Amino acid sequence: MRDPTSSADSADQPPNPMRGPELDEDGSDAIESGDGRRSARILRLTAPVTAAEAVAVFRRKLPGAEAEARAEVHPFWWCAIGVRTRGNFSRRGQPAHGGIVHVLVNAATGRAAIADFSPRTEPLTISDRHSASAWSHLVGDDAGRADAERAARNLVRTSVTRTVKLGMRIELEQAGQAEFVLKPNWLVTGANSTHTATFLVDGLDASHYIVRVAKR
Amino acid sequence: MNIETWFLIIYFIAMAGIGVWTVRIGSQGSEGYLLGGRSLGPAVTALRLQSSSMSGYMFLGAGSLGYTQGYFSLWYAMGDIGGGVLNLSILGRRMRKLSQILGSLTSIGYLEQRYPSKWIRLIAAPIALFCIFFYVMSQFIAGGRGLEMVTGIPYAWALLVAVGVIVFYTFLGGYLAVAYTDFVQAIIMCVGMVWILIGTLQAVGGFTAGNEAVGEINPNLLTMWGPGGYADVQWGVIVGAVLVFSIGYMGWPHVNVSHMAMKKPSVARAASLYATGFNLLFIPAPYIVGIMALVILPGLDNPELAVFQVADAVLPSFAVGIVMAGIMAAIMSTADALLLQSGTIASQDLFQRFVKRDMSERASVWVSRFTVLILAAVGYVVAVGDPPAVAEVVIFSTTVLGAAFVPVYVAAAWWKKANVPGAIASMVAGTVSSVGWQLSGLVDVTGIDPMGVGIVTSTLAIIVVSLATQRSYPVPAHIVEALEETAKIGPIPARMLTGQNDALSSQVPKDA
Amino acid sequence: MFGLPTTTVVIIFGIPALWVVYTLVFVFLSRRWGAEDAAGGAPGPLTDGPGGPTGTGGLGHGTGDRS
Repeated sequence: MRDPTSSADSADQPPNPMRGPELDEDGSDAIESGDGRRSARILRLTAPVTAAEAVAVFRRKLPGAEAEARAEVHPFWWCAIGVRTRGNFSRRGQPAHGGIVHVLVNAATGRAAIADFSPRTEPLTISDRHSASAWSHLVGDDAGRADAERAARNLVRTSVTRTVKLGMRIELEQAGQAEFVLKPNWLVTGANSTHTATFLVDGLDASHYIVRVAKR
Repeated sequence: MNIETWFLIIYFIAMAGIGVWTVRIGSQGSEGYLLGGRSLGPAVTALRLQSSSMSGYMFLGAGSLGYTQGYFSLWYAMGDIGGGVLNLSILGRRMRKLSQILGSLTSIGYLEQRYPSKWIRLIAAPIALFCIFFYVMSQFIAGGRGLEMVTGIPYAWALLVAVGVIVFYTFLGGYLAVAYTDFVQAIIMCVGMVWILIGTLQAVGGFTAGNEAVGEINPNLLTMWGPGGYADVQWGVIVGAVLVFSIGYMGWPHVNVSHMAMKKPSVARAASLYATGFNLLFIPAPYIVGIMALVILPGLDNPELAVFQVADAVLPSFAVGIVMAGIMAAIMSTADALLLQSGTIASQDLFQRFVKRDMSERASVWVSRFTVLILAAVGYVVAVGDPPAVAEVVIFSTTVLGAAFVPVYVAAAWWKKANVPGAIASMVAGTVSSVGWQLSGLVDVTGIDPMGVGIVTSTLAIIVVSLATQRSYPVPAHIVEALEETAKIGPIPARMLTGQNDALSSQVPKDA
Repeated sequence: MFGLPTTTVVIIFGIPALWVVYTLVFVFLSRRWGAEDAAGGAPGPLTDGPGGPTGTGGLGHGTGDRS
């Protein structure tokens, strides 16, 4: 996450944990939303999985295959939610659950998941900008953002409730607005002597999904 | 106060104390976690599924049916024994996979995503609420009667206490699981039920001797045709009895949600073994106890208390108190879970979706609580007056839910052509036909059970209407693809499928 | 036997036996379901870590091994 005092390529800076994605605009990653009315920010999640690793995942399932990985992205909303819990008799709340819970909501399906890491972002690549038009309608979609924020809050509330004492109060506060982020994935296509296949490999955790497979 | 009451109180204080002072870091919830994660093992999964049947119904309803109908009541058990495995085998894997692909979190949300139309939610949510209300009310009645019997206070007050405690727990954040895990409770009740059964059989001198004694009261009680014997047999009612708890359970939203939560389909396989095994042991027991109660306590004026009274007669006092406590705990947790469910349906599926989209968190909680209060109040008023029998209410609500929802849930995962009009028609037809049949009294005239009528009507509706409207309301392409994906487990070599992350399916680019 | 008419005995033992058979058949037919289990022991970043996410700084790469 960009620290406003850092230099332009600061992708390696550790994120400030107490701040969600509401840092000041520095402009360079803003994209015009579809109707041009507002320039909303799009960020790209830093993905640990490289193309080579994605191909390696493919090769593990299709031994001896030749394959090629293509970078793809999928839109998510990123919400950072601060959690405080308060016992029945105390006045002030304590931060709980590490203070901030990061939730990633799939912008296409609305499904939310808690990320057990602090998402980091980096500048968009050229190809991201080219395909930005495909996402621009989602970026400016306030109703979608509101739905995502609500889903994130519900999810956090549910998950926190199961871990607190009966009757404790839970206070959730969203740190800033939900940010629109692009999660990188790898689309790997290839073949070995017996099968051809196309896999989608998750850019964050290298899990895979078989899009199609066919016997040669 | 008698010893049993003391044990009841001590047990509750102990549990509540544990609940209030300890933090539960127990098993993680299932919503929103994409990969891996700890999943509940098969034994716990099975018991959780089954604990939906371990509520007031088992201890009051089943016993009363046994007491009044003899072995005829076992038709219900015959269906119930298979309900778990049927549910797991038909819905389990496919519903889990489809819900993952569609990204659903609730079972009603799943229906709306599979049959995209706001009308689905608008129809399904009230039907679910309606049936949940009745089921909750049955738990109130069971709780009130149980308390009345154990403590001796008059029913109206006992009911008030029962309702009050249930609402109190629901308001306190509701997760009774914090204080009682379903699993522990299930064990207590299972042990209790088996103990009662053994005690009962000893009291009557053994299974054979007991049956002979019952036969002397009325030989027809030993047949499966009812107290009137074969001459009076109503085949329709028998069919309904078997269907209600075998198929009917597939309509319960809070049961189906556990399929969606299942992280590993392999759990379903092992769970089905546990479920069937457990059911074989546990389900027939209260019916048999009810039947044998005819011998031990011939003149009961309230057959619903058959199991309780027998327990009182054959178990040592401390055991009675603990088992009662286990039963009350089960009743309360079932009622609490259902009330919470209804609160969520009211606030999220209905209010937030249709009335006020940007409803704040607090408002949502308040709508939820308000719904719970209303349901509790109405439930109390109905239950205190001239309460219907627990058995009747449970059977009725399961019948309506089964008739309304089973075809849409099954078709959702198995039939590509099931579309929105078909689903709507099915839910409406199932509800109207089963409720109407029941209220109009046609059961006695025709000997056909509302469950049979309801299921047949709703199944026909979804088939006929879906086929008739295929052109004008086709099933959206992304859903057809999702269904094909769901069916897939053969053509892709298993080795490749291992470890696949289904949640990624929604992230596949269009041009892949 | 058991002091019960034969029909009753046949039904109350027969139908449960059918369910047992159904269960066993189901378990046999679904033996490939295990292939769909999420890979054990390879939790990714988007999972439920114990007690929730670590919000305080950290490397942000997720804790999963990449198999």
